[in-house]
Amino acid sequence: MGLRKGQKELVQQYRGGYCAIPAIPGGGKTHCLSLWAVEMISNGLHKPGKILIVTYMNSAVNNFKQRISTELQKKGILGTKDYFVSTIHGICLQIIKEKPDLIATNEEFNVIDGVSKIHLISSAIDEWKRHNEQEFLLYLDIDGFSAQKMSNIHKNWHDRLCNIMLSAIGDFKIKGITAQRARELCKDISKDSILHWACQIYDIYDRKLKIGGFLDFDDMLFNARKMLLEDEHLLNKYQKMYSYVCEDEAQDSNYIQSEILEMISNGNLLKVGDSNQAICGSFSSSDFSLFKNFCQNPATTVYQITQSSRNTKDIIDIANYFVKYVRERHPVLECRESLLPQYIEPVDENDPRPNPEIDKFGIKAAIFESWEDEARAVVTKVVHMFKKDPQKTAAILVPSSWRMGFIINILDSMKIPYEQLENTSSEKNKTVRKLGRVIDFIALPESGAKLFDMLEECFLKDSYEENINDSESEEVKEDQKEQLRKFLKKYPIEKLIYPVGGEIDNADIPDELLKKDVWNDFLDSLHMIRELLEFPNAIVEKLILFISEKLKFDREERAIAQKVAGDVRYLMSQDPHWKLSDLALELLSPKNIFNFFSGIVWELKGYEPKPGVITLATYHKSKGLEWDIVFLTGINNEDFPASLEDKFVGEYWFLKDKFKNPQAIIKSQMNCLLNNQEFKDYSLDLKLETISERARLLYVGITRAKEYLFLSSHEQNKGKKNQVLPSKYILELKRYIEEVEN
Amino acid sequence: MEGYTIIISDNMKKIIQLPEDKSKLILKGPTGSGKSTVLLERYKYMVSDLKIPSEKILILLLNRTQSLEWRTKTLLEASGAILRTSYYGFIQGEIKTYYPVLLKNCGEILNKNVKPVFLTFEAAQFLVSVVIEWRRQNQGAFEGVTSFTDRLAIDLTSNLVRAAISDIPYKEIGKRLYSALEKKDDIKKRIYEEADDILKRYRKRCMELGIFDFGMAVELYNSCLLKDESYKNQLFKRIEHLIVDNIEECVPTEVDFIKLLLPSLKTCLLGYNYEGGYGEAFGSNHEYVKKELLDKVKSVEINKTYTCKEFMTEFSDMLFDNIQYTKGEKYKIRTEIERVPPFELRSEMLENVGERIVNLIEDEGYKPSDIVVISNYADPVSEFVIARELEKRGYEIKNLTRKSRVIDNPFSQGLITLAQLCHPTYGFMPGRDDVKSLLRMVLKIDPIRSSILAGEILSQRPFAQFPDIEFPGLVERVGYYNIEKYEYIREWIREYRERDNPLKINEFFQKVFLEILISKEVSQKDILEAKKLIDSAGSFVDVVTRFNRNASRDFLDVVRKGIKSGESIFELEEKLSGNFVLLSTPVAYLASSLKSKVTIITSLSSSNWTPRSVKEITNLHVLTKTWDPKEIYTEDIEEKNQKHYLAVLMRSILKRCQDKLITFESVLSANGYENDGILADYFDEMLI
Repeated sequence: MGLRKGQKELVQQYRGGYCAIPAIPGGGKTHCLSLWAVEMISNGLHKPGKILIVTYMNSAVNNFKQRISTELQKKGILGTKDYFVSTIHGICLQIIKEKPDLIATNEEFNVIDGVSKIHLISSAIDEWKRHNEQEFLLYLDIDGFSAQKMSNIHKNWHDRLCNIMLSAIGDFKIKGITAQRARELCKDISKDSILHWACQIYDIYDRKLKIGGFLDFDDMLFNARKMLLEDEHLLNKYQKMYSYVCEDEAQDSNYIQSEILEMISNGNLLKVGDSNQAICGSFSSSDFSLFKNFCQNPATTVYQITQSSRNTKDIIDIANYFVKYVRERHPVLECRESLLPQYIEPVDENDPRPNPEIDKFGIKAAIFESWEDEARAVVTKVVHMFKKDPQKTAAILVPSSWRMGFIINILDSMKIPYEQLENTSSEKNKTVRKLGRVIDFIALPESGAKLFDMLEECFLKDSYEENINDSESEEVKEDQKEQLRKFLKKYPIEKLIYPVGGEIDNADIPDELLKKDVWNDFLDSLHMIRELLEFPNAIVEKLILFISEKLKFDREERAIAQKVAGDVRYLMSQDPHWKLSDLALELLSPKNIFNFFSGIVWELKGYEPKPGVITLATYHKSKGLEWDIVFLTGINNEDFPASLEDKFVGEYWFLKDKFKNPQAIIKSQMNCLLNNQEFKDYSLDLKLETISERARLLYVGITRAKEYLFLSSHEQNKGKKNQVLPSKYILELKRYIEEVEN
Repeated sequence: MEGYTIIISDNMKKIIQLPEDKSKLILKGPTGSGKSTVLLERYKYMVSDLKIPSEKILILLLNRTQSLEWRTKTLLEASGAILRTSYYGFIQGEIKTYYPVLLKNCGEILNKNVKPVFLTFEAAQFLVSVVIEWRRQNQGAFEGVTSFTDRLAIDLTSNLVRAAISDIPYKEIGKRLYSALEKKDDIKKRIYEEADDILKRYRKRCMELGIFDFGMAVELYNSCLLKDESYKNQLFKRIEHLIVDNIEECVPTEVDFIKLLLPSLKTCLLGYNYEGGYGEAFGSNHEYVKKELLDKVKSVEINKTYTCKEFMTEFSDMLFDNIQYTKGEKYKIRTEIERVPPFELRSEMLENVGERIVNLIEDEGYKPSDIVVISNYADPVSEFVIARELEKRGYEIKNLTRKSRVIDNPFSQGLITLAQLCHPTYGFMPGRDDVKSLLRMVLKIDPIRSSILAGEILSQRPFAQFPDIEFPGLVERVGYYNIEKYEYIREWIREYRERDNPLKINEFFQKVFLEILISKEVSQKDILEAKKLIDSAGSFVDVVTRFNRNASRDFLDVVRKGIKSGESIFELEEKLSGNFVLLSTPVAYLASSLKSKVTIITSLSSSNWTPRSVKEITNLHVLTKTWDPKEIYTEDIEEKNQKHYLAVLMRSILKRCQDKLITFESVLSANGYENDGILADYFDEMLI
């Protein structure tokens, strides 16, 4: 089976009780956990219940499922009845569906997706603003700005408030405070306080959520726990259903999740994780000390996995160096414990899967003048590396998703193949976008622009090679598609699709276009375009399925089209004024309500990096993955602060100084109110937490690389209010790299 | 769907030919034993041979499907008035006829000078949902409840009905539900109080105005007519014979009603399927029937089944036992029971269902009408996906469940769009898509030119209207085709808008239909749709006007929100007798008297097979006559009820399956979550 130290003990020895597997990055957690499950199942040791594996993301769920079923099949065991792999939300959903009436809902409730949630909170804030215009402006530091600039700042503040409020509402929910209770609480606090607003907005948001028949993720966790706590019958049922409970990525667990799994497990609880990779604190109230404490519990058997064959020895060395640096020399004393002294060891020399070796030192660090320069340099380097070895896999990691845009522009313009690890990625959105383009056109068929967009998305080739190259000089040569676009924009569309007399008047068409392939392709598509236009659109779901059939959607695409069709009726009943163009608008937005489902469908295939294709992801989304070549970009003091003087995500330059970090203020006020404590300023705590977590995030990034690692950063707005500088970490690592190289 | 032949045995013949007096009988038998046939033949015999006047015979049936079958099969026999109806239909008729008696006995009705009006379920829900929505938005009502307002309205109105048919006073609904809760808390207590309050006001207002929903009608009939001695006496005189099919699906007050009639009847024949009882969601109460009725009348049993083969009887009985009594018996798999392995995605499953049907027809020699597809939702997506697979080969599938909305029909939508254009003061700006479709329909111009024109119409100020088409530029783009028709409609709308008073919406529809829409090309189906729309608008206006609301405007509003369209008896007949594959929910299938050669069950692993009876503001088992109000409704009871329901449902479905059962399922549900229902587990355990 090729098991290493720690893995072997787990598979051969763990048969019950508490068990923890602290594992270093690349330690093969999924591999050995799957093998353990297979071992248990093939020997019938899991009976009478099933093995439950709870992991972090849907892609990981599918990964586990595939591995376990493949291994079981090798042993001649078919079927999936012996194990259940799920995200924590999947389990909570299952629990709530057992007795939805306990929490005053019914089986028809929906789990709100991320996009609708933002819509909802935004409209709740709008409603609140109508009565609280003064309060909304209170924190803004806007003296001396132009009206235009001010309106931008208002919009910016509104958008930030959405996230601040969602996080505050999450906190309320996790603490079990209902909207009603929050309303009572806020009676005693000043109207100027942001916590007061949070209570009011929570109230509005909650009403909207419930009338919409929605639960959000926090509701799911909180309610599932509540139900298990209050309903013995239900708890017994789950304890019987699952003989063993395994928690993957346990370092990112939170109190409620831990409590739920602890309850269900009835004593047979296995946690796998790496405290040094805990990176979800600021998103989900998770707490990495939970896993640490579990490991330290005397009742817990601990099998440590310390060997990894993922990276070259050089990369292992720099990862270990970073841990050592943070522990011994981090500028902020309180943050030195943020990484535990778990050092990665390469595997033994005779291991069947040895650490990769390359013939040179594969680590570089660089600092650029601007983000644009950095992005361009990174892309150029990737292209260069691929040219040298097209079989390599590579990833560019960015600190936050908005930074992706610029890189995507470069990749698009250079026609370099790439893949995004986001539910909103263009690949995953392709189906929904195609539907959107067609429906957008049907809604306004006289628009040449919409016709062209549809043609381009669904009917035309990606590019048209010019066959008569020499007749025109480079400058005059215009893309064929561009010619068609310009023509369609001006020409009355009805004369092309429904010409009077039945024939297009070729005299109207520019000669150079008539000769082109693109024109022939356009003519070829006319028949289908007419079919699409003429299909009765009174029943929109039928129209969608018709489009899916006409465009010859494949298996995954059809699943998504059916989901869209299934939801249309519901959307229309929610808003009777809803039109085809509204549907198109939703479908064409990269963040749309179908992202979640598309994600599920695409993730069924699992993610495997493809050679020669760049993966573009945030540091967060790279968790659990690996590539031959990894670029860590944007290592600046805003995203990776290393001292208290650094800038922090969550501090907004347009706010008055004492209100700079609204999230910290809410947290402080909430603690003060709920625990009857004296007011304590949490902004320092929050800063320390951010610094620690970001250090771990960088560690995660470093350990993704198998062979080559490129670290980069940039400067921006130097000397201004919103200036960005390279993080201390990159300076330190750069120094280390130069030292080793010399 | 094709019929099947039932051979009338000597025993049955005896029952059919019972004398015209002193013959009261319950005819017991399982599904497909020929009870209904005996009932029908008995009726024919009574009318043609015993010469009993048909108005003396009351026939109570479950629903329109049964009624249709009776109508077709007893067509020639009818002599006098025919008393063939559902329980509710009967009550409505009685209230209408004896309204003066009712008014005398009921103090709550203030508006005594107008005829009573009966609310459809949808109108009742609309009225209740208006109140709920307002209270939720403005008074924070139902705080803590995660549910759509429409859902709450459905549950509240159903509660009122359930209470009425179980003879539970409406004032006790909330208390009864709350005290049965296993987990009580203040939030829930408040929810029930709010629900009670809304119902109380709704009921009071309706009563005052002389508008009754199903629940109120039952309540009034029982308390104001049946308690009236003179009414009762002439009822006993009027009805001398009673025929009821499927008494196991009767609601408790109906059982009481039958019991009340029994002593004075000369003859009665009650069909009883002891395997039935799937209608509990609609208030039927098998337990109550057993307790109150079975020992009151002598019974005869027939038990040969004609609708399914022996192996299916064995299989379905075993499945019933395994679910109901956890017997764990094993069944050796055979080709007639085909378990298709799960597909990953629901979409794949649906497509494969379609392919399998084609296969059944083309390779295995079945007719489309031999096949029924049972789906828990029978939703439009299932219907369309399967339909597309069949269409490719020239076959059709029809949905037995009524799912289509008024606005799904382009012709009805055209009427509505014109109504919006003609009534700017109602404030409903028509949608561009709708105007476009209207233009395409009436002017017969292509989609692009109608879109251009629609854009012009909608951009007129202050409100959308047909612009001057001769206006420079417009006519060049749109063309001269059908320009007279355009001018005619333009003029028509202009004139209508100048009226002092708008017409009532149903009258408006009628006028538009005759003066604008009717043409040679209009199909029979469209005319039917228009008629349905006009009728339902008429009854809606009738009711809602009494609440001092602008009913015409309200109607346009509810139509936009997607109320379902009615189904004419012709359409139903077509579905039942044509050569189509049928798609149906389990209950709609069982409520019809259809049988099939091949039964296809979709989404076998879905948890929708065992719906919970406890909901946020209702519990159908607690709002029944057989529930002891001192009891707590525990999870064990719920589990037992769920399993019982599933067991009964499956047995009834399978017993109507003659040749072949095929099951389909998918790992993921339509929303992408893993299916984990128990029904598939029972199949897994049982089949070896």
